[in-house]
Amino acid sequence: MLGRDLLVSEEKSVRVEVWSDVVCPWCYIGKRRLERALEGFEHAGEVEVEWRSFQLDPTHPKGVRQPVYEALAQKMGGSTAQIRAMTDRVKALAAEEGLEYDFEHSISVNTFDAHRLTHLAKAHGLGGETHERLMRAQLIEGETLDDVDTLVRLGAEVGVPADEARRVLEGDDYTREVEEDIREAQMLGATGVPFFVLNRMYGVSGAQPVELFLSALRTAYENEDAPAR
Amino acid sequence: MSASASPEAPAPDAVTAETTPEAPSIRRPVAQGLVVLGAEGAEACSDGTCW
Repeated sequence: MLGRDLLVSEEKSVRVEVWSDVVCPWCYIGKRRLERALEGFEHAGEVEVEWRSFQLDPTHPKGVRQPVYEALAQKMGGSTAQIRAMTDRVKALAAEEGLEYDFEHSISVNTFDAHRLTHLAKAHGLGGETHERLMRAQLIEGETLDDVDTLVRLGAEVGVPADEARRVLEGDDYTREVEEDIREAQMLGATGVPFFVLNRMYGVSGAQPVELFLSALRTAYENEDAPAR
Repeated sequence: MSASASPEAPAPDAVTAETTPEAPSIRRPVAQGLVVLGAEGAEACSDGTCW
């Protein structure tokens, strides 16, 4: 087999950008489905996945923490019992992906700082690991993701230097990067998350089935040389 | 059959094929010429709501 360096001129690749929020239950499911698609993709080694920031609720006041069921009941109306019933479906589908969501203990917070941490992590080549860790912390472990100590600890668990994370979180570094990610999602026409963009040519909206992701990867790979419009 | 999502192919409102694992539908072009693959109404969160 020829080495990759001999194939540079014909080498194809797929860049997958994923707009996602750490509090988004469908985003974690979509992440798992994309990963499963990559397991079945014959060119997975030529795929680069980049996690981009999106805030589901940018108006959530900073510093305000509220149990998720309570926050949803307040926002949508209805009792917490009705809200619980409403979340059953996403919990069941998450369980199919091996994700045991625990909304009983999930805390609704403003996620801007969590995204700033993810951008720092990205600078260390740890963006994907950090996004995964934060989603697990939010949706499964009931961590409070606007708490600096919590974010520093979670980042450190995947290799983000703690002192650097604390300095970033106590200041305003990566604010512009988060804001630009959100703006870019809007520019690309994303109306919700997760939103997957392949080679800036194809979009996949939502936690689509694994087969769709696999097909999209193949489509992007096959059309990698097509001129961007 | 391989996927047929050529970036030149779609015209607005023109292509509405069903999604199959073999050939993702070209649903609608959006800003910057991005072609959206897959069925509409997939599970997603928007406007702060996921349910």
